[in-house]
Amino acid sequence: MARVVVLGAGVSGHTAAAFLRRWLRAEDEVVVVSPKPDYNWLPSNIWVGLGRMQPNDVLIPLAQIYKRHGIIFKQAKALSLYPEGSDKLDQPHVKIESTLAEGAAAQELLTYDYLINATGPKLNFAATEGLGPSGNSLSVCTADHAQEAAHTFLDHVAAMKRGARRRFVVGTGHGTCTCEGAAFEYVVNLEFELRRHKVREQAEVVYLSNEYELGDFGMGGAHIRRNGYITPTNIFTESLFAERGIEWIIRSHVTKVEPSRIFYQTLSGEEYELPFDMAMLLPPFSGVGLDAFDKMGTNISSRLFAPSGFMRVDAAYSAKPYDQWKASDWPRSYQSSEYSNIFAAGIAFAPPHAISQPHYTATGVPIFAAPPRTGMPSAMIGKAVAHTIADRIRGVERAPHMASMSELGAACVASAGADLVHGSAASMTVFPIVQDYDRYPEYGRDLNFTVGEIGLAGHWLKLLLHYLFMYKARLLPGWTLIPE
Amino acid sequence: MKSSAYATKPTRVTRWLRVFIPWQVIRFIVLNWKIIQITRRNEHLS
Repeated sequence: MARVVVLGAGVSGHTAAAFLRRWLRAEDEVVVVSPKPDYNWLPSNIWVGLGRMQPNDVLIPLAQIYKRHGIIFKQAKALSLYPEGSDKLDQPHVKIESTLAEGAAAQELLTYDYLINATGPKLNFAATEGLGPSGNSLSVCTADHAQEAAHTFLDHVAAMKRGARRRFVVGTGHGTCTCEGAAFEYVVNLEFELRRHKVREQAEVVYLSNEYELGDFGMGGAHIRRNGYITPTNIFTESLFAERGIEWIIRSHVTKVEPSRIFYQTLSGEEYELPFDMAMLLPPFSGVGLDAFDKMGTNISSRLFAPSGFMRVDAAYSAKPYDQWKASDWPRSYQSSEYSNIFAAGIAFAPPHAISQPHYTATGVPIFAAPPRTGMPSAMIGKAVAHTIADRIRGVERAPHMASMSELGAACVASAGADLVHGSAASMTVFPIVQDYDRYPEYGRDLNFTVGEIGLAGHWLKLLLHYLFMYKARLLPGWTLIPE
Repeated sequence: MKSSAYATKPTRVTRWLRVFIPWQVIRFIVLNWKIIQITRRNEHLS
């Protein structure tokens, strides 16, 4: 009998656990440890954040699903790893702490044969003074945050219907943020909702971002074929904003958020203030802060984790200048660089470097988008890691399964208005996610599979994906037929 | 703030095509086909 422990039940962890259960023998155990009771289909939080969906529409309680499929679920958070065992237990184990109301703070040592770290990110609101729902800005990173954002938004809409004017600021709350695609999606949806509520004339909508150019999205932008030209995505995004009257500020690092004022500096070193009535600013991400100890009790966290807190895997982490970055620097198997029975999947692995070109102010403040890890690659990574572990447990001798972001493509459908007849979305596909200038010398990507367009079809696609992936996450009959 | 005055803007025809249902049905099929091709390539990799 073997036991695989999966830390985290997001897209990557949930996918890995589901496939492991399918591929492993009945006597093997799959244990999922997650501090929250629900799976959250994050891409649809955008709609919760504007009141078009409720949290229940994007959350799925995990306990029953896992019980039905023979997966052991522990609602707990991981505190520390002991990959060589400890003075209490010889076997590798992880210390977890219950987050159940009735078992609060109860700790347990959970042994494993294989461990998948799929903890996702810590939402590092503390990186910027006043950032986040407990400070002075809003977020859509969790269903609860999104619901709070929706309440605030609808209050402002009600005030505007009575004649008030409002300024909405949406974007990134720090110079090193990622997930600009989510901020982009929220701002265009917000603008659509203002029009739907017939209060657009009384609103100023501003997009504030750390991106060097609009449409960078943390992947260095992309080039797409459009109407006889090969166009960079900044043209595509600027057009979309200009058409909707959304103003933008880029190359910015938010330094402080006061109750109605954002302080930010730009790449050129200038400092500004931006008054607002409602601000939805995404936080930067970091690792969740797991500590690791060797058999002697020595803290070995710096060997397992990068300074960002994300886990080191089979990537080329040696520092080198931007012009020497290679697609082959990116990890392929996601096996820990220190322990062959530990893997990191989804957002939990440490990228070897950014995808976008780094930029710093004269005083050394980094202002550039960090690499995104959207649903499709996160799920593919989770599945590949599960496959490798299942092979090893079943004694199948074969090379690890690969899911390098420099070889995987991704589709991203950013809703720009939720309506079956008048709505729209920006649909983008990129292949590969990380540019590979050896294979595709001119643009780093295959232009046959790197596309972008705006239209109602994108909204239908986004809606279809919502229902398909909610079905798949429930592990209902035929779930394996739905691709990652 | 950046001025949008220099940004490319869609023509009326483009805006109309974006919500013209027969054309969008075709685009829906094309987008799905592209995504299926990408997922096939991804599956082939792993």
